[in-house]
Amino acid sequence: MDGVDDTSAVLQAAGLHQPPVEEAPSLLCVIIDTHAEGWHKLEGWSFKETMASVMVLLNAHMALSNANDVAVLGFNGMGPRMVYPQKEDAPLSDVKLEGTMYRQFHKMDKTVLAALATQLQETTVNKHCSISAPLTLALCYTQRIMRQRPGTRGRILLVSVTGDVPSKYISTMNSIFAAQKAHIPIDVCKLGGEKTNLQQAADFTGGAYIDIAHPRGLVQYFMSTFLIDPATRQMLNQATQPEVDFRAVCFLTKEVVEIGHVCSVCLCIMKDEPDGSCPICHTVFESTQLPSFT
Amino acid sequence: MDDSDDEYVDSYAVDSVQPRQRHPRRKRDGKSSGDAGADSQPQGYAWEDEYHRSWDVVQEDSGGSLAGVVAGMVEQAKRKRVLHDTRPVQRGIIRNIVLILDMSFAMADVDMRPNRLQVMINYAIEFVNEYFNQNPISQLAIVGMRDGIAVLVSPLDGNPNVHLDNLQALRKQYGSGVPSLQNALEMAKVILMHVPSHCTKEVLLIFGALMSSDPGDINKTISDLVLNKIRVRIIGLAAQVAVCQRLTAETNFGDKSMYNVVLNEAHFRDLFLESTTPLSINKLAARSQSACVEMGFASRVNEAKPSLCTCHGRLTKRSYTCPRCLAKVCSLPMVCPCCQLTLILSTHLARSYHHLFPLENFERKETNLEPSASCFGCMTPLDHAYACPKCHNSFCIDCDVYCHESLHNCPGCEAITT
Ligand SMILES: [Zn+2]
Ligand SMILES: [Zn+2]
Ligand SMILES: [Zn+2]
Ligand SMILES: [Zn+2]
Ligand SMILES: [Zn+2]
Repeated sequence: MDGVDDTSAVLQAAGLHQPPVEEAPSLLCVIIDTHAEGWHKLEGWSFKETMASVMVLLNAHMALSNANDVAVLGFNGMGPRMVYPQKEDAPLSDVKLEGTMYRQFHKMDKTVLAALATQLQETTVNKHCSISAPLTLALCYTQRIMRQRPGTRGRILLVSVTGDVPSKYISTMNSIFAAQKAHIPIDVCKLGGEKTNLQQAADFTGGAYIDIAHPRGLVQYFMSTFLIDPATRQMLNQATQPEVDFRAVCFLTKEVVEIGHVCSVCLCIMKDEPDGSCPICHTVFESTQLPSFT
Repeated sequence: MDDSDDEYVDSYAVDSVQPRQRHPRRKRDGKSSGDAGADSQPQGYAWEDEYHRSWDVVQEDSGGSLAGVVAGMVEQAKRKRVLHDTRPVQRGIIRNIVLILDMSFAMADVDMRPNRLQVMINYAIEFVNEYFNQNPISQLAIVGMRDGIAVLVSPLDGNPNVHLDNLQALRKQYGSGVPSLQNALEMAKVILMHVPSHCTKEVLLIFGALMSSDPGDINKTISDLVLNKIRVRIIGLAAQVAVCQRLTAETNFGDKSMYNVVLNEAHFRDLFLESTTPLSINKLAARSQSACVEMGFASRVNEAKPSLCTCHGRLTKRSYTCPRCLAKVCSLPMVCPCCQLTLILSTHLARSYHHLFPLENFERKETNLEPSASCFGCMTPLDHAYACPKCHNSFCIDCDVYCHESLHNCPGCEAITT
């Protein structure tokens, strides 16, 4: 009896008095970047092998609990698309079995791999989809599942190979704030492209951010970092980001700035001090002298 | 016998459904003291208006069932919440609010459970959290009205934790004495005195009593507030008071929507949290309220060994570095203690952008839907569709609410690639 009490006291002290993991069903939304250009530029990576690792993660998540669920989205120059679950789902009994594989796994594997391979074939030169698009869709879908099955916890994993579109900065930030508000952590697995907002997305929502340079051992990364429930992660010693870049981007020149000028009406950020009026909202500034904030 | 029965039912119904209107509204007083045109609504007492029973509104459908009607009403209620004003107006985003809380005898009333004071403190805590969530580079001060004087509960500060601690401490107190509007407003004026002109100066007053005990002429205070460009918003807990109506109208360029009286606890909460959205800047005031502010965007560093921060002298490992003087500070937003540069995160600014670029309201589609139609956002089969005017995709009511209340993105417009 004493022993039991002790454990709960220790857990209380560590702030881990949430119900056990198997009690709360969890929805894992995986967003896969299917820009063919991005994958082509990556050296030493093959789409097929990476997807094999992703499938291991998805199956492992489903296997953890009967109540767990997954969703997969792909996005490329043609826009974001839901890959799994599909709108018109074939009934489970129609799925042909090979060997002794669990029917649900088999169905999911087949659907996901086929749809993503098709997306990769689409040639969309010079067209890019911002991460805000699949994030927005994933959040809408997660909200629906949370409405239908109250108590479900949502998570998002983003596998990215290209940089973000700078013009969609505001929408990207909006979706990050919405995820934070709904306590949906965004994990980021970056294989290529620039850092951009992804680091902030992970930092703000309490997700993990991993920059993987080498394809070997990808499964290990997935299983040791992304499979673990965010509540459990606090108990583990995980890789942290030594420095998070919070620098802003100038609205006019798109340059990264450390010290900028901010219009008090529209909050646009400018590298150089504008003369007289705001170039974005055309407000005329009262004084040329710069007042301090407080 | 029949007649008297009818009369009894009528008066009972009015009395029980609208208990808050039992006090005569003081509008008449306002009228007699020369406040011409203060109100265009029908004058008089609430019980003189015709009474509408809720069951008169509901009509059975052809099958004699109410299910469809009820579902429609639920949907309408959800819809009502999201139909925001989406004109991109200039809003004062760097805000300074003085929250004035009534802590007089009137707050000991138990028409809200356990009493008005506790309910007010609960909502005030929610307000503080939501206010700093929506306005991260803003400041707040809290003033209380009790025993005829104004007491400073929490000084002007940008850190929500300071205010939350002070509000928690208030819980142990009881409402006592009379409130004084003038004293509280004068204190708010002093607090907001040296706020720079590009920030907004606002007062949010929670007024439980129907009277005020003032040492001097409140009209002078009102004109002082107007001169200082301080905008006052009032939430009344009992009934409308003429002086409050004049106070809000005069400080808001004649806008009468800034004075509201609560109907019930949920309405109180809605009104309270509504004040977290930045006010639109009236064109008259816009000119003096704009400036270009120099700000530094700090990066976060995780150090292997802890070192002292310049702001508090505490040992910390996680810190931010001022880009101009390289001083180390432990939390943001903050003014650099060494070089006085305003240090913020770019994400602090990004939180406010949805006020400046609001998402347009979706329109209800009246045409018949195909049976296979599904929501673009969450893929649920659609009963009623709401379409985005820009990308013409259809959404379900839940996605409509979610997109406008939390997300501020349209999934369809985002899907358009460049
Ligand atoms: Zn501007
Ligand atoms: Zn410090
Ligand atoms: Zn400095
Ligand atoms: Zn929907
Ligand atoms: Zn749209």
